[in-house]
Amino acid sequence: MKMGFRFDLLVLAVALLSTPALSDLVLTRVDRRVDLTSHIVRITSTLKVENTGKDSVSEVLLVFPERQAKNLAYLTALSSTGKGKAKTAAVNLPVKNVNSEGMPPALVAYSVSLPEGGLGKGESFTFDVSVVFTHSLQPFPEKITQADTQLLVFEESAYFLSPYAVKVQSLTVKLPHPRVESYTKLENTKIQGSEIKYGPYENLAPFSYSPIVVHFESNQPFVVARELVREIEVSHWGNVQVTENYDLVHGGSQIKGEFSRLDYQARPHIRGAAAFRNLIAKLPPRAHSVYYRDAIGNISTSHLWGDARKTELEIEPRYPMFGGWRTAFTIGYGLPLQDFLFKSGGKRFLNISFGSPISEIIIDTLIVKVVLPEGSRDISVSTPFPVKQWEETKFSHLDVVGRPVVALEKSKVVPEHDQYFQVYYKFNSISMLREPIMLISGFFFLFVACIVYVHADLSISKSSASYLAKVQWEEVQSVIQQVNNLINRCLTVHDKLDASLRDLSRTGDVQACKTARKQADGLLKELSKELKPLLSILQTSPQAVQILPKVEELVVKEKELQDKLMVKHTTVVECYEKKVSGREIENRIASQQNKITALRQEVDDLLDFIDEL
Amino acid sequence: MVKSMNRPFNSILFDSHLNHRHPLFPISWIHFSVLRFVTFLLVVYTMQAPKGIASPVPISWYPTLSVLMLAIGLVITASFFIYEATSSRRNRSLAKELFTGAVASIFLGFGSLFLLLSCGIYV
Repeated sequence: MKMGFRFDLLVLAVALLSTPALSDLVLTRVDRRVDLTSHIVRITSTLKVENTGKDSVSEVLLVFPERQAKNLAYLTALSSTGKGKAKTAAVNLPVKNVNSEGMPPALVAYSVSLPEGGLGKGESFTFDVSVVFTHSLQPFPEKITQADTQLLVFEESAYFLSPYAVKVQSLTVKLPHPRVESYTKLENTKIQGSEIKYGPYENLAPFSYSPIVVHFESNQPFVVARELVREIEVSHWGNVQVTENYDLVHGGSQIKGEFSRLDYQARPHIRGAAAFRNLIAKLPPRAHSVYYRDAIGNISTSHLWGDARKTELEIEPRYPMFGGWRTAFTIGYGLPLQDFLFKSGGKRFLNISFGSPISEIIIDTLIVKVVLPEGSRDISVSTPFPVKQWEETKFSHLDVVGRPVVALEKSKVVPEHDQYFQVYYKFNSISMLREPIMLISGFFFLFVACIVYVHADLSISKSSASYLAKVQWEEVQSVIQQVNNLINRCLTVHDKLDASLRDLSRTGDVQACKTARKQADGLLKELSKELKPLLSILQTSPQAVQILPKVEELVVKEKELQDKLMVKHTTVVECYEKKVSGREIENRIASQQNKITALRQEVDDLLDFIDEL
Repeated sequence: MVKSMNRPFNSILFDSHLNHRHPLFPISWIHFSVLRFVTFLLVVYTMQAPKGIASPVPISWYPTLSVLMLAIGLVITASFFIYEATSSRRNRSLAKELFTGAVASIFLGFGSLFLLLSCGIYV
């Protein structure tokens, strides 16, 4: 195949260099499994390394061709103890990128540090390496029509590329369908169902490389987000709001020719097998207020259901995604604060996942922005993998200086990166009161404005007739209000007297009644004394001419009422002392009572009339 | 079940400006979602058990509190304006006006804050 040409050159270059083995390690067994069931290529290799030299070795090198290393998104090494499926304890091994001198320049090397003590003489050690590559499946043909199915090409080496000699190795390639267009047939190659097995190959020299190409059919949804901006806003009032802005593209074979909606809707599996229609996002449990919209508005083709462990959101973009088509939308949801914000030591920290909740998505550039409330200080971030970091400010609701934002950027993000990261910061709880105090002072400013307006004297001329008249009228009004107050107090005293009479009829306590009458007497005398100067003011004021007769009438009537009540009170008390029967008492005071009620009515009417002025 | 920790959870401070490869959570792509959840549980319950921070006022009270405080605030505002309208210039007392205004603005301020929170605008 034409494609193998470049790799042959590489093999030649590597063979010519013929570097000696870097150390005395030998890989006794390598089993590789390449998983092509999704558009993200995952290669899991189980390596058994043995130290055949004298010195203890503390690291193992893994190499990748530069072309492949460019697409490398995630690399992890786990050590596994126990044979076969009984893996009991898996310890993570630190891996770092190295530049080694004895290395051909077209290779990128990573070093796996072995656990403490390294590998002694004669010892062997087994560990698993998981590598994830993005954009490693090339669509071939690059343009297909709506009715065609998508064919992808995957290039790899049948021999494990390593700086050490390999004793026994095998390679299994797992495909999504049993249908393969073509694959490189080397010795010991067989195809079983949807798996292609290469190997076992024995006793290969270091840096041996045998390129293979697999051309297979895959209609898995090729979801690639060119850019994803995740904004996580923390509010101490009980909510973490996550807003995700997606710029999605279908990364598979581009569609050529026209798109027929009729064909697609009638037979979607035949005309449009390479397209995907929906995406599933797994949100944390207890997510609420989920929305899905784009620049046009809300998109209603979505479903949400949740249980105690997750909330699943299934969204359908406005059109099915064919190769090369793009769509942009926003997903937002709120999360309860206590699931994600914690306190430890003197600091608070936010513990939340880094990647996108959409399953099987490759993100070319992921930017996560964590917006912390105003007043947060000493912000630091801890992530399980390297990210680019910087700080910004965002102005949001009720902000004075703006909220601090920590922005993290990472490229080539795969679902394996969807791990928890933490943002630590210090926040004084009293600062939460800043928001209500801002609102309170806003309202208070309105009230103060009202007070100032009412108190302000905006008249231009202070000696004009109308101004003087207004001032006098206001004086009269205040005097009348005071008169009103006094009369009302007199009336309450009358009510108290009546109440004492009722008490008398209930308990028969004559003495208490008499003391009540004395008190009432005293009070009424005081009130009438206070009334006198007010009345004199009214008499002198010219503005009060109309109202003066009514007020005088009121005072006079009130006096009459007072006198009559007193008389009634004394008669009732005397009757009680003489132990006259109830009916007799009522008969004697009947006429008085009628007059009293009539007078009371008139007084009330006059009061109402004066109030209305 | 795969054991996932060999480092204390909260002593991790990653220097992202140094180009280290330092994956802390060994995750096989088959089990990553389960491992993620289990890791989180292990951290929360076995380590110092960091305490979750919640809002100072229970969220279910927000609508009730907002209605209550706004009602009281509006009643006091009404009494303020009635006092302004019915009192004459000489009888007005600035202290009473300011006091009524302050109390009304406190209730209205808190009421509007809880109104914003109960509408989903988490300020």
